[in-house]
Amino acid sequence: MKSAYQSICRLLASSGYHDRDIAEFLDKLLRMGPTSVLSDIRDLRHLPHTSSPRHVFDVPTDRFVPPPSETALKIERLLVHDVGMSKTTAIEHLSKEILLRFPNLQIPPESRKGFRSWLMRLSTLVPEKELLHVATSIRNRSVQDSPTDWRLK
Amino acid sequence: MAIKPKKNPCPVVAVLNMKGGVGKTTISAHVFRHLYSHLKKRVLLIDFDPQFNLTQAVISQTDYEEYKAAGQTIFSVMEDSATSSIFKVSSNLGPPPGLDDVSVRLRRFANTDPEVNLLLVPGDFDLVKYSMIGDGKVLEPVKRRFLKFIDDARLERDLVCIDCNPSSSFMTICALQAATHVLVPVRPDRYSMLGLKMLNRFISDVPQLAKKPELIVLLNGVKISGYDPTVENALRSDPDFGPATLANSLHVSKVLEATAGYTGFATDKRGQGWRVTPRITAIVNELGAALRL
Repeated sequence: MKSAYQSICRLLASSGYHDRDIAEFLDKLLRMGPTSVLSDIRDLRHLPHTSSPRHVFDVPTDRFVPPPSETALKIERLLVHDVGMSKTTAIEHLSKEILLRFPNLQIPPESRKGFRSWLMRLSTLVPEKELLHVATSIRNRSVQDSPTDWRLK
Repeated sequence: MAIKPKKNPCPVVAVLNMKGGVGKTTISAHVFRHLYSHLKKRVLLIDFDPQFNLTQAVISQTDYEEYKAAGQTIFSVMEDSATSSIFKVSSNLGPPPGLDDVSVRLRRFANTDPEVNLLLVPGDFDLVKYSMIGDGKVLEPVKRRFLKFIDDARLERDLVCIDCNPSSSFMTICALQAATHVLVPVRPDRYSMLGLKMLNRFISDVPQLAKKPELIVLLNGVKISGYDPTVENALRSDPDFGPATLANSLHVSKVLEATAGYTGFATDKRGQGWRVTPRITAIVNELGAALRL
């Protein structure tokens, strides 16, 4: 123990820290207790040495906000723009296809606020990726794109 | 501080596509770094590619050399120590090392939730030896040791992400056997659908996979302007891949590109991270729901 104490004192002596910094460290060590300090030291052993605190520590935040969903706009483009369906026909086709996949689903009624608003309400019941799959399948039955790739046989 | 073991093993996501250059490492690094901080989950990244680009993207060479010298890389997960020949593996492999022995803590929350952090098991070029050994029996103990390491890690973490290399090698089999999900980055360009179909067939045909991992497809590299949606339309309408393709996609951005002068995560780039963070947040929300985190 004595030699570890002396070695660490030597390390501190050669570290270039001022007496006031070392006193602050010792004061904090006394307040935190050896278990917490040892835990911090173990943590530091696992951190990349050249990392600065900004590159290591995150502050809990709720500021991450995703952009507004593009799903409704994409479906409108697929069915109304690409196929030329009326919005009412698009709702009929989508409802029919979705009920085939989710037979017990209560499809929301057509909204007075419009097609995109109806799609937004639908997306609270059906995952957006499923809605896009259904809409693209309907679209591709009417619009033939050239093949994108070779077939895998 | 000892980490409390959980009751249920966490999901394991292999980020994989047989096609190169689709953004596997970009997604492993930036999406999963944000998943840890946004969803506040204990995430473990494993660089399982001998090229170890993920490691090079997020830690400095000086640090890496120290980790390598201390055996703090994925190679120690596979074998106890390097043998003199790259065509041999160590005989009598012992149990795998503990997570604390081989992982590097990349990020953590200041003052709160010390257990919620982002760990990386750094990559290692020495893994390349496994692509040179043709006898599968020789490598069987190595695979068992890797799978045991993953099983143990699943009880300590909320999510394990394995950044794979694009070959159909021994390591790909290891990753697929460990994975509950395969996240497939797909670029909306020619040959992408073919690459996806090849991967799907590979997963279906590998006899070692008793339970096939669930596919999740993420469109990566979508242009903001002048975008041709032909490939996306083919992908989303496909009966197998359409329902597995996330609604949110990752757009082309210079912020996500690896640059010589920067080591770290894209979302931490001072003055630039905000450009990509909202879209990555949307992906993380959707991915978190798909993984039931």
